[in-house]
Amino acid sequence: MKKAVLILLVLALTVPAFARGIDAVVSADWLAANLSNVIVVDMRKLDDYRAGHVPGAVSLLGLYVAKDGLSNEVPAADELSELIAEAGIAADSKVVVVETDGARFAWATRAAWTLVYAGVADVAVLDGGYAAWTKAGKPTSTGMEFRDEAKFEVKFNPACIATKDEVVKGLKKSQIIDARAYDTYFGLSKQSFVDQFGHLPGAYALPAAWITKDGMVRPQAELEEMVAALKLNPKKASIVHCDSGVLCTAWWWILTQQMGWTNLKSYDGSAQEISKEPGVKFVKYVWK
Amino acid sequence: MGFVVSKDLIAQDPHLQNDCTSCHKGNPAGKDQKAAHAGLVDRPSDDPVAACGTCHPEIAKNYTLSLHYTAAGMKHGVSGRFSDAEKKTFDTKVFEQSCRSCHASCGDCHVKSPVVSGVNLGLMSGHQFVRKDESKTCALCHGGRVYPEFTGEYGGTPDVHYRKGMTCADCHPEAQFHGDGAAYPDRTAVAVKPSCTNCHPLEYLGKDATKETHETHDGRVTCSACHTASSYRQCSSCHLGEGARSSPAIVLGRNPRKPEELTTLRLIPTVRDTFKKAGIAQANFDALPNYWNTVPHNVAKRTDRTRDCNTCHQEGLYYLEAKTLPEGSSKKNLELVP
Repeated sequence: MKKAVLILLVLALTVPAFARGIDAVVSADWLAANLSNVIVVDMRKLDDYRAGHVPGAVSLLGLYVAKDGLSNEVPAADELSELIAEAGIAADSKVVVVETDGARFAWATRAAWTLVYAGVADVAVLDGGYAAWTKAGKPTSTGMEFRDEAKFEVKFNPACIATKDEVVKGLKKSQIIDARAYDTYFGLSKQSFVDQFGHLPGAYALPAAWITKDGMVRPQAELEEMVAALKLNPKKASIVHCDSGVLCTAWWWILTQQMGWTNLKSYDGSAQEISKEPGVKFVKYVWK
Repeated sequence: MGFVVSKDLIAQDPHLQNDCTSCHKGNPAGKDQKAAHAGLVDRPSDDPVAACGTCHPEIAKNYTLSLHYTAAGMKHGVSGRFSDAEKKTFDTKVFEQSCRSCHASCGDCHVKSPVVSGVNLGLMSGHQFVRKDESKTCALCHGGRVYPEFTGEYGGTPDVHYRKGMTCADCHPEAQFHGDGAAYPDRTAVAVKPSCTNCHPLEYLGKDATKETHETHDGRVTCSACHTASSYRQCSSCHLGEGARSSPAIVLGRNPRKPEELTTLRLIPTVRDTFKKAGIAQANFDALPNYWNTVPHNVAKRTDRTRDCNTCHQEGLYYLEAKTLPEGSSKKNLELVP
């Protein structure tokens, strides 16, 4: 009996990678063909949204906020519930996130990760963003569009997010993936809001910038090769981080939502938070 | 790259039905650039009445008295720190030669983005006259604080009004941009300005659970004190010889213009030697505080203060404190500590 409860508990706390009804990354063609079946949320600046957007898309800003000295945090549950509900999204909605272009892929995945973390299972990211949509000659609308408010209350899935304590405890046990650029990982440069050069000891360097090429997400097989080359273990308890909790969601998205990893958490406090932890010492000028 | 004036543009925009010289003067008979540009007026609408007033007489006349044109707020905001002699020096040496250069012409909002600290976005849409484009106009002059707070680009929560598709002119009436024909000393004196209660009257405000809270705080605590979502920019050190610094914070204190009211305060960067180079010692520096009441443009329905009364009533989390006042700042600041 105890074993059955334990199994159920583990299943409940894993990322819902296979619960999705749409692909994690969708093309402009797919979106155009399925526009009536999905809710499109536009993450760009309001002026850009108003100047032109995917027909029917609603603007959805505020999914990541500065809080407690950290740049990109999840809004409070009541606020996030309202944001999502006002966008017309229910827990069983199919949602496509649109950002500016491929360069903003990680910002799209940050929004998508937040939605999944909040309890919306079927979320996709538009490959290439709005730039790909217009490049493909798809129709656009201007001005503001709204949807009827949905009924939605967040049910945070703790399997999606790592806390600082989890990272500290997981330093020796977990597989830590660092999604920042090589120079940052190696310790040549750092963001001003990060206190230490280098990386967490033992972290694997897997830059988020590698996910896209010419603004589009690389083929899954190519991404899988990268992951395999690093000898990353998909089954091991893992944490992905970056500087401020945005880039890391790009690999979280690919690994969990596309490749089926079920034991990977994204750390939104990232280096901005953990580098200030007195007992945590980054290492530099090493590749491990 | 297209021409800034094209046949299509001329056909679309009635302003361009007149020839270029009607606004920019110059010499159309000139055979080379130098000759053609003789007497050229680069910014015709620096004189609104002469340039735009021929077709828009009332707006142009009002505009010459508006704060956007007179920049009077910069003069009156600080003049209380000066002796009479210093006021004269300030008006001639500092205000006219420096502050006043920030005045906006008609064209700064309707043709070409204003130049701010040498940064200029150029023409907004070729030479087409644009009715409004807040992100290229308001956002530049008010881009140090208000606009990025509004959009969330300063690192906070986007204002709830912005999220719902509203921009500057949706709250600020036209009279605030063009003036209403009166010459005001500063923005607080303007007759018509936005108020939260214009759209959210207190009698209809809040669900049953919050009605009493709104009524209890009415007149004693401003809307922004509770509904400012996240930290906003506090400026310091300007002109101190080391450049301006800013840091984010929510600061609650007594409204210097209405001391019985608790409100959001913003640290304004006038320090004791701000005008030292102009020979102004600010004889009455301590007559005015360094903190002024402000309405940060990152409004949210829910904040840590609306969620939990203890944020203010037990912890006093954001209250201005005597011990944290900037070193050397005005003694008047002490009166704002709740």
